[in-house]
Amino acid sequence: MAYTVLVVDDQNIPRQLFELLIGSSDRYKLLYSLDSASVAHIYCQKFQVDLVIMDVVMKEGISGLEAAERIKKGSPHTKILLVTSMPEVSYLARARQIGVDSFWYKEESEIPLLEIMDRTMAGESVYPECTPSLRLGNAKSGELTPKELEVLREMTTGASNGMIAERLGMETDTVKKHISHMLQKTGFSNRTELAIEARVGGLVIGERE
Amino acid sequence: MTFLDLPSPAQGVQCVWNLMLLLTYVLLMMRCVFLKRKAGMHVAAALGFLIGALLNIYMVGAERFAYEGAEVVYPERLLKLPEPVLICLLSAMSVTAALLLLNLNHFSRNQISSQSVKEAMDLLPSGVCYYDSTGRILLVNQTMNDIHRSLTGYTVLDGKDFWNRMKAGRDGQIVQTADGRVYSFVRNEIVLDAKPVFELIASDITEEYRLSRQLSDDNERLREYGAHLRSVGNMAGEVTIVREILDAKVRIHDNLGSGLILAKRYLSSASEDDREALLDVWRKNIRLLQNELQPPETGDYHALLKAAEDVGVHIQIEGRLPEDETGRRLTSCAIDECITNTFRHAQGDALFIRVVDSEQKLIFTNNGIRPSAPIQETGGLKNLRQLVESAGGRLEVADAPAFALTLHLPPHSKNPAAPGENRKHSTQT
Repeated sequence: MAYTVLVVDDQNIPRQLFELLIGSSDRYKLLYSLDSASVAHIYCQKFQVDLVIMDVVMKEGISGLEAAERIKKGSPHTKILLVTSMPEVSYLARARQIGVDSFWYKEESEIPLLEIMDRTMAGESVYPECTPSLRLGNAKSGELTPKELEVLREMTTGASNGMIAERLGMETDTVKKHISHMLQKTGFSNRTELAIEARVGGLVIGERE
Repeated sequence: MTFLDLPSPAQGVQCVWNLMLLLTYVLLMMRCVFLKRKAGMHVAAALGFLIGALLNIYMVGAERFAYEGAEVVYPERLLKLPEPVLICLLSAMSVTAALLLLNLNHFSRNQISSQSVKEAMDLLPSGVCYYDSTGRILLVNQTMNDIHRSLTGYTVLDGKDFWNRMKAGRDGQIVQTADGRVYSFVRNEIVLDAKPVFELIASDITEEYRLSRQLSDDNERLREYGAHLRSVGNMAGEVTIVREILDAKVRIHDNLGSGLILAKRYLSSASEDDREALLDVWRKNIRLLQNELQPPETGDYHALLKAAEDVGVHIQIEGRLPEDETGRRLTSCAIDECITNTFRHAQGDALFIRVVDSEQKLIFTNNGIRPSAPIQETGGLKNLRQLVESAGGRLEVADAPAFALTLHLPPHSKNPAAPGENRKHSTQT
């Protein structure tokens, strides 16, 4: 009997590609294809949903990560496979924390999505070893420390040093030191350039206000 | 030996001595009064003066008796007063006068006079002014007069009027004088002799004001920078989405390329397998392109209403759902919770939403079975209550006679529907 799948992606073409992929396999059956993550948990509570394939970044409403958390609370047996093209470093850790079963990078992953789906349904939790490496000025994304990335994430929201310090529970001088180190590593001349490049590349994505 | 037995020069010396003591005591009495010394000092000075005056009468009377034969105004037997007693009296008076003088000098040196207060206050860098309830100036220092002069052209004449003008100023109680100095005014009320006295203090905050202005300018620049960065962040999000779409389009382009290759192969060999593969590829490509051309369905409640329809819950809405951000957010969460509740707990298939514009509230009911026990607010309902209350709204949940959830929107939430504009619509037509 085929597994029932719920596809959640706010972009039409990626959603259609997922639908085609599911349609191409007799092991899976598309239950619904949604353009909003906010309502995915309703479907999971009403129907027998075996697998949810969901994008992380949504233009409106809640993110795929938040939706996954809701689904796991109401329907803990439903498997969730999150997909994204964003190399944001915090996504993997958050997904693991929520209990997301598998994670797939749209552009970077060498394993086909169908294989990930099969392994997930077989009870395996498939996660990439690390986030895709991204070039940030003269540095690779892996050269930035977790603390520096936290500061960088807050910087992309336009927060001042004082606000960043308050949000992250550190001293303003420590924030300044992290920014200075990042500027040294990347070679950018100012914090604005650094923040914009990090955000455009998808290395850090601050929470929507 | 008596006073009359003394030679004339000696008598003269004693008279002058006594006269000087008399004058000294007059001076001491005046200083005691002026310095407000204790009563004992007053009595001592007055007693000294009295003894001196009596001795003067005695000595002048004795001389007139001896040289002019005039009668004395006191008993003649006093003329036989021994000279040593007189000398002792004069000496005692001299010592007492000296002690009183020393005491008064010491006291005046350690005593703050109103003049010394004024002089000290004039040295203060802050302006100080004391005035009574009518505005009459009791004390004002030089700095305050300088500030007032710089602002008005004359010194402080009316404290009350001065304070009222300070309060009405552009920056509250902060003024800038012509020389560029900035003063902050504070007024305190004190009670002196059971009457209210107002103390006006002007502190020089020129440097603090400059730094505060600089900080304010810096903060403004930071706010602009933050807003700019946020808009760039949003734009970057759009760019990323567009990039994802482009990538997907590239994949479609690749698929179309494969289709063309397959078509070429089919045309050259025309095998049945190639035909099936070719048709499959073109079907998929056409489906993708058709979907790409379809405009996406939008609307604040679109996803929720579609979800309700998909899970078999018919939603009937009476009125118009809120369209402002807060109202939309709270209403969406309430609909979400009520859809789940309708099919999971009430086993119903219809959700009724009544929007009461005049009271800024929405009432949710369903056609399911009524709760058999009081509703325990856990999970979704608990989260909904927290969300509504943190936004300033209110939530009422009733389980009898039937389940009803009333969402009171926060006062600042605006429902755009005008009274009487209510209309009925349903997700199933």
